[in-house]
Amino acid sequence: MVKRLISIKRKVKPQKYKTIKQIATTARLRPDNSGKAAAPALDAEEWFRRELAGNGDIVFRDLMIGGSEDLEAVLIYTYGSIDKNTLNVNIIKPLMNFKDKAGKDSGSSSFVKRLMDSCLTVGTIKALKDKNLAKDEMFQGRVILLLNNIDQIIILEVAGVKARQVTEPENERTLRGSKEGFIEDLWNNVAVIRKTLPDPTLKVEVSKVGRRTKTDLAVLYVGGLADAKLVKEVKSRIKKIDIDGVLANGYIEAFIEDNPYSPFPQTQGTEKPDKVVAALLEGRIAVVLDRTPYVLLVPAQLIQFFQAPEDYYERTYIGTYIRILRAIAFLVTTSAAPAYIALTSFHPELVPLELLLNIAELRKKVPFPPVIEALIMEFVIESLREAGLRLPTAVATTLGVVGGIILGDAAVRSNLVSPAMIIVITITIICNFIIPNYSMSLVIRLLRLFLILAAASFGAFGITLGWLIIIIHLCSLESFGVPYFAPIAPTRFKDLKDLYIRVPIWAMKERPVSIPGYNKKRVVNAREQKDGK
Amino acid sequence: MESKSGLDITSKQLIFIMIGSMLGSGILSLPRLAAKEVGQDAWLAVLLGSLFPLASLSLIRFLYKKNNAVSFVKVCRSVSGRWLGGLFSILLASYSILTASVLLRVFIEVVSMFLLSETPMLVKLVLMLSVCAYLASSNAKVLGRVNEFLFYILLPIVFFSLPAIISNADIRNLMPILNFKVSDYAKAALTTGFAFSGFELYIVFHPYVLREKEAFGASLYALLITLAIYLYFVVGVILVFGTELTQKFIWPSLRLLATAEVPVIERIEFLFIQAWIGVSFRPISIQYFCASHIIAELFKLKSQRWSTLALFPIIIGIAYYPKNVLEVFKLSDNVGLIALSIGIALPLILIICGLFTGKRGGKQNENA
Amino acid sequence: MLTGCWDAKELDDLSVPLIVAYDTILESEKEYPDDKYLVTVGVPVFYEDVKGKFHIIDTTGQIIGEARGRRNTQIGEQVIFGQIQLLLLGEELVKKENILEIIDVIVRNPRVKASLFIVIAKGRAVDLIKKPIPNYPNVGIYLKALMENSKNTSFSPYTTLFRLNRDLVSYETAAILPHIIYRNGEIMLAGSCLVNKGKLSGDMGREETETAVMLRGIKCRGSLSFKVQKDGKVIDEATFEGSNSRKVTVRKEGDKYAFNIQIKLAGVIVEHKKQKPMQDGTNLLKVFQDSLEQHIKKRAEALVKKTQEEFKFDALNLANSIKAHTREKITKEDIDKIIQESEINVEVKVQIRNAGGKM
Repeated sequence: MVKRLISIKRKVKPQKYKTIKQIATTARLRPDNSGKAAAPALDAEEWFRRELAGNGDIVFRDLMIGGSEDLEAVLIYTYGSIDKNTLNVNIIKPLMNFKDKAGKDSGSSSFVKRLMDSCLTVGTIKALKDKNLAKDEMFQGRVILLLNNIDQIIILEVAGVKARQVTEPENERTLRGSKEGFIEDLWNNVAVIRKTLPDPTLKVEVSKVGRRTKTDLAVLYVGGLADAKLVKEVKSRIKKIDIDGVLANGYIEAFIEDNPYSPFPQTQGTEKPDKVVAALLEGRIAVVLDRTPYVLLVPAQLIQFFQAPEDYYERTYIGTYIRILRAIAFLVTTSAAPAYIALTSFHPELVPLELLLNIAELRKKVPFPPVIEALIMEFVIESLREAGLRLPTAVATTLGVVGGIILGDAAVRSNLVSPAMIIVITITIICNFIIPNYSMSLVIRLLRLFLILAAASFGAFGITLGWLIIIIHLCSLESFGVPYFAPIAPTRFKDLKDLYIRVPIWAMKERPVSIPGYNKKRVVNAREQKDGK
Repeated sequence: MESKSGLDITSKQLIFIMIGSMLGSGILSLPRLAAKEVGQDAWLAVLLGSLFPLASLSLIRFLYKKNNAVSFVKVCRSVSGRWLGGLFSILLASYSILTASVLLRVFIEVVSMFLLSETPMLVKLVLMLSVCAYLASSNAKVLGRVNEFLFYILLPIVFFSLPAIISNADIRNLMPILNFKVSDYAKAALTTGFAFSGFELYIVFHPYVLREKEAFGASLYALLITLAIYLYFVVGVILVFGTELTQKFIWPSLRLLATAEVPVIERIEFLFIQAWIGVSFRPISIQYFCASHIIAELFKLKSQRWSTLALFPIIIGIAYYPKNVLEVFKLSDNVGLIALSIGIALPLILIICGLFTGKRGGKQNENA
Repeated sequence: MLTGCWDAKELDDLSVPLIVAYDTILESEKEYPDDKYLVTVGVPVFYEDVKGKFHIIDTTGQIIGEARGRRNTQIGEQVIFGQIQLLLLGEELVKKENILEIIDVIVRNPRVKASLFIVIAKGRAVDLIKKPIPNYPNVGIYLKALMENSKNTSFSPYTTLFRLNRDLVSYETAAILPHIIYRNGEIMLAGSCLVNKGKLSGDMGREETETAVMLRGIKCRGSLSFKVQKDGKVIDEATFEGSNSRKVTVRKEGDKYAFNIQIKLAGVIVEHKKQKPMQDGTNLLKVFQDSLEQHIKKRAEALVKKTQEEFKFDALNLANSIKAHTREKITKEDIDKIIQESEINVEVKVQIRNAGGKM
């Protein structure tokens, strides 16, 4: 499907039965397929009827303005995307009851102006001359009004597509923060952000991306905080995007990130407004796309993927404890299985004696080497997880029971997998879920696979070399000029306050040093001191 | 902030790069080498040995103060003409290649003995060098960051060995002090000077530091930290083992950790080896980086990747050449000698040439 | 690649010796006429449903390594030496040969742990290994546990490979190795022996061993029983449990040296028979301390005399102090002479913290 969207030029062969696609591509040709372009000078209405032939959901509504016969007009719109009540009450009714005081000889443009200013009681309205533009507008869900013998076309905003209810996003659950998530409508999302951050310096710059989808895209930043060069860079990269259709923010991400060959995500995505606002206040930039509840935040750094907004809402010690727990969990999930493989296959002298005897006895019964065991278990667990993602809840629960408990038990009894390995893999999987960011946890799986293969080939040496490669890669990544691995390397001590420990809110006086920007002071008045000063 | 080639490094990153290039395989065998000549005064020998790099660093700073240039190759060329300057650059580049190969081989020898004994030498060499090549083909900024990160990883090793030292130390192993002839000390200082090799690369990195005034201070700082870590290990080993036993092991520092009787992790030396892979990896990749950087600049290559790739088989070839541990040690001793001479002689020669051409050329054009 | 390129070893394909023993050889055991040593290893068995859980293999050879090579034809798995916990040496072997030469094959292997214990067996080591141990999985584990805890439960000289090396090579003093015998169906520690210049040169019983440990300054925790004397009369018998440490000072008077060894003991009284109240302000505690001090001092002085007259070498780990004190080059003979001729003073300081929960 992606491929088809990107390819623009295609050979069009006349066929007996046309597909909708073919109709769309041949829409520019004459109905008799003679291959000539349509004649330019046609009546507007006829032109539209010809262009929009074959679409069953487009309505042509003839009416007479004010009841007079020489003021004929046509309303053209797509049936499902308008609010019918608004259309009837605010457009058709006033048009039909319109009493034009000035008369026709005052000129067509002033007539249009009078229509727009005093008759059509719709919030968003404009007038165009270009028929193609008007056609695009209509396809984007607006109502167009064609007036007889007047070359201006009026575009009316009567949106009424049913939008999803605001719900808590599934992947970013919180206990103590707001549970609101974004929905698919761009304007609603931007409105929510504005509500959370009503600061007048918040700028929202809108553009369209995608040749055929013409999706609205908004770039948000706080004028006094974000670095102007950064904003310019983001906007210029977005401008360069040239593809058929943009369906999700993932497409945008692929185009604007610095290093597409890296497994690490270089933009952070979120569905929660509070995260977006926190990022904006740090001087970052948000990219919101219509039809997607997922908002991109640039520039991104590695540590962000290990932070959750919850850390800030709980008390300091809890936040610190959870941060450290996450760090340890990260190490465990990437290195536990490889370490087990390396120790049992390459360096048995490093295992404490009793453990070694135990493991050896257990391993005697299992036919596979530890690597194969690890890979089998990884495969089974990944399949379970992937299968459970899209299943309805009831089936997923059953799958969990079957897969987890019964399968695991049976695997041990049948001596296909040794119990030690099962424990290792279980701990690994549990620790994997501690990572708050979903895309990051997927990346971690890849890392783990890489390290398992490295450990299987070269033991502890392989693991260390694998880590070195990962570190070098992380150090060389830059997201819009900001080093990805900061504040770990280059070490910016001021930012370390937020890395392993979570310093109380009143102590985080400055914005992160790593992100370029102005106005570094975050908090003006520190917490009230004990003696009431 | 973005320089067109990403070559700008802060002075703090320079510290870590210098530490990375000096602190290498020296840690493991330094106690033995120093104790051979002067026994329990090995720490004194290390202190004396650090005078060599000090001299070299000062010379390099002097060189750059007199000739304002943006890179090592340009400095060479500006003081001694195009062809001779190119020759000097190639001299340093070949030295870097040689050192990288020797360091690589010595490192792999240790790994072979402790971690992987059956895997063919060639495979291990290629593996390790590939990771170094990955780092060497990037720019100086990345080099700085990686070195900074790995330095902080190194610190725990130092702390791991603390319980081993404290529980078994005997201060009388260090006494009596100053029991040897002056010539013994001089010989020992020469040996320990080798351990600091890597300081001569300051000549390549100095012009890239953003604030030049801080560069020399940074390099001194790096020397100080390296010296401190070396002293720590030398003193620790002798405190625990005594002079005679120190000379019996090839790598006494490693044995030091083996003696620690820690309950759960039975073999702390294993963790040490892992961290030490990170330690040893740095000088190899920094030398490799310098070599491919100089070559890339000399031959005006588009990116450093090509010169890195081209040097890869050369380094493997040299590293593969010695057939046993003895030949490796001989080679590394020779290379150590070359390091000292290049470290002191090269800047000296360049300064002298600079004095001659100073009147002739006047100020050379500076590439901003 | 998935099964590990070159170095990967399947865990169940390994044989992991826990205990190694070296012995002199009897005529009946020789495989070839030139064989000189008998090497025994104890290897735990990983298979589940087999009868024997501990496999003991002995082979012979002209040199230790040869015996090891011959053993490889008897074992069905690859051998790794990283888990050797204990080295057991036969008495006869250490009397005849230099210990450092014998264990060179172990020391040279970088993967062997430096904290493995070295123990001397009274009689032949191989006999000791073959004795059944009903309460522990196998001999190796029992002996390792014995040695590991010996320093926490009694004043016995636990010696690891590292300490042996250090004492013999760097310090140039005599090393002390614990003695193991088999008595009444149990393997136990009984005394120790001294290894001078690599060869076994002296024997000490249990009491003397405890004194030697205290004099040498090996830090242990153990128990000492003594008779309490007040004004020359025996009034009580008590047991003390505590830890020890020592401090050595050296003085040079002209050509002669004078040593002062101060032994410090700190601990608690766990038993005293007559149950007189001690902890209510009377001076009885001090009397106990003094008695213990006298007791130990007497034993220590006896041992010092034995060192100077019978052993005639440095058994008290004083060599390092001598070397630290002088700028001349000193050889082992000089050290031994100095020990014989100098004045060695022993001081004992006891600190009793409390006497339990009873008054």
